[in-house]
Amino acid sequence: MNRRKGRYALAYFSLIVALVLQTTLVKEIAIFGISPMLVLVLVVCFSLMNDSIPSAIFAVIAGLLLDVAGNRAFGLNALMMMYLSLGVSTVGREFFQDTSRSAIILVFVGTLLYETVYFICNFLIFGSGHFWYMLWRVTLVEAVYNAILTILVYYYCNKFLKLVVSRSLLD
Amino acid sequence: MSFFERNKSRVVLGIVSVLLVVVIALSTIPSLKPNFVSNAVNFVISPIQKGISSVINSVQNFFNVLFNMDEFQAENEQLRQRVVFLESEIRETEELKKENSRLRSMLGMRERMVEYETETAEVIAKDPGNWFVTFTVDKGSSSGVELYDPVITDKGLVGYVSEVNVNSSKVTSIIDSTTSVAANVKRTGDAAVVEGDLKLQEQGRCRMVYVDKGSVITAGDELETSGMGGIYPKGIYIGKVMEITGDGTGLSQQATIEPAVDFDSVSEVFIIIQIE
Repeated sequence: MNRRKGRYALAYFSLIVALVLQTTLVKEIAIFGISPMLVLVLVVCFSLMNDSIPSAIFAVIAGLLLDVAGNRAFGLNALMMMYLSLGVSTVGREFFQDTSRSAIILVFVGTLLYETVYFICNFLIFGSGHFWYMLWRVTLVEAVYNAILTILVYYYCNKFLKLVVSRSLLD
Repeated sequence: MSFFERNKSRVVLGIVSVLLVVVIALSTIPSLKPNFVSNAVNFVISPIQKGISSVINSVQNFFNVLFNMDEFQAENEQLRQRVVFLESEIRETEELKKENSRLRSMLGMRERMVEYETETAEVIAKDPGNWFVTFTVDKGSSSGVELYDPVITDKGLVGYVSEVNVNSSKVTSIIDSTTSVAANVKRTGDAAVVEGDLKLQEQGRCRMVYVDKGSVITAGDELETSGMGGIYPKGIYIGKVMEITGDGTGLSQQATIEPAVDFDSVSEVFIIIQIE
C-alpha cells in the first residue's frame, strides 16, 4: 500500500517536472519553431500502462496544470486530456500491447487529434483560417517530435510509474 | 442494481465533463477566471521555472560570448565611438531642452512630456503549447503589476499583461494571433493596426492591416504605437515594415512586420506600471 502511494506521488511529481520543463527547457529545443508537448506524451504513456480511471484522473490534473500555465479558456486542456486518456486506455487495451511501439503510435495519433481539436476550439470558431497549413505545419511536426520523445518517456514510465495502479497492487 | 451503480463510470465521466465545460465557459469571462488555482500553482512552480530559466540563460550567454568573441570586440569598438558621439549629442540636446522650456514658458504652454514608471521583470516560462506566444514573468500584483499594463524592452514593444497573480504575471505578445495594436507609420503618419497572425507568429513576425490604399508605405518604414485603444501609450517603437501586400479585397493594404523585439530570446522586460 505504501509502495503504491509512493509511486502515485512519483507520478504526480513527474507531472510537475514535465510541466516545468515544457515551459522552460523544452521551448529551447524547438524544431522549425515547434516544441514537443512533454505533458501529453507522459499522459499517453501513463494511460497505456495503467487502469483507465486513475489514468483519467492523472490526465485531468495534467490538463488543469496546462490550463494554469497557459492563459486561455481554463479547463479546455483538462477536458481534452481526460478524453485522450480514456481513448488511449480503451484503444490500447483492445488493439495494442503495452510496448514502446504502441506508445509511439498512440502518441503520434493522439497528438494529431488533440492539437486539431484544440485548434478548432480556439481559432476556427473565431474565424481564423489557415486550417490545413496549421494542421500540416504545427500539428504534424509536433506529432513527429512527440513520437520521438515517447521513446524516453515510455522507458521512464515503464520503469518507475507502471506499478502505480497495477492490478496486483490495487487488489 | 440501480442505474447509477450500473453506469457509475459513465455518470462520473458525464458529470466531470459538464463541470469542465461550465468552467471553460465561465473562464472566458475575465473577472470569473479562477485566479486562486492559478495563484496556488504558480506560487509552487514559479521559483522552479525561475531557477531553470536562469540556468538556461546563463548557458546561452556563455556560448553566445564564446562563439561570437570577434563580433563582440568589433561591436565594442563601434559602441565606444558611438558613446563619444552620443555624449556630444546629449550636451546639445540639454541645451535645446532648456531653450525649448524657456520658449514654452514664454508662450504659456504646458509640458506634454510622458513619463513611465516601470518594473523590471524576468521571463521565467513560456506558453506550454505551440499556438500562443505568451510568457510568464516573475512580477505580479505584489509589485504593483495590473491587468493590461503595457510591456516593453529597451528595443521596443513586447505586449501587455493578460493575467496577474501575486508573484507572477502572464504577458501576451504583440505577435500572438489574439492581439492587435493601434499603430502609426512614423514617416508618413498613416494610421494602421498591427495584429498577430498564426502563420507569421512562428517566424516571430506579425502583420499590419487596414492601411489606407493611397498611403505610400515602403519596406523599412518604422512603426510606433499611436496611443489609441487604451492599453499602449503613444510613441513606443514596434518594428519595421518588411513587405507590403494587398489585403485581398483591394480596399486597403497590409504588410508583414518585423518587430523590434526577438520573442524567442527575450529574457528581461519592463512592465509600465504607471504612466504620468
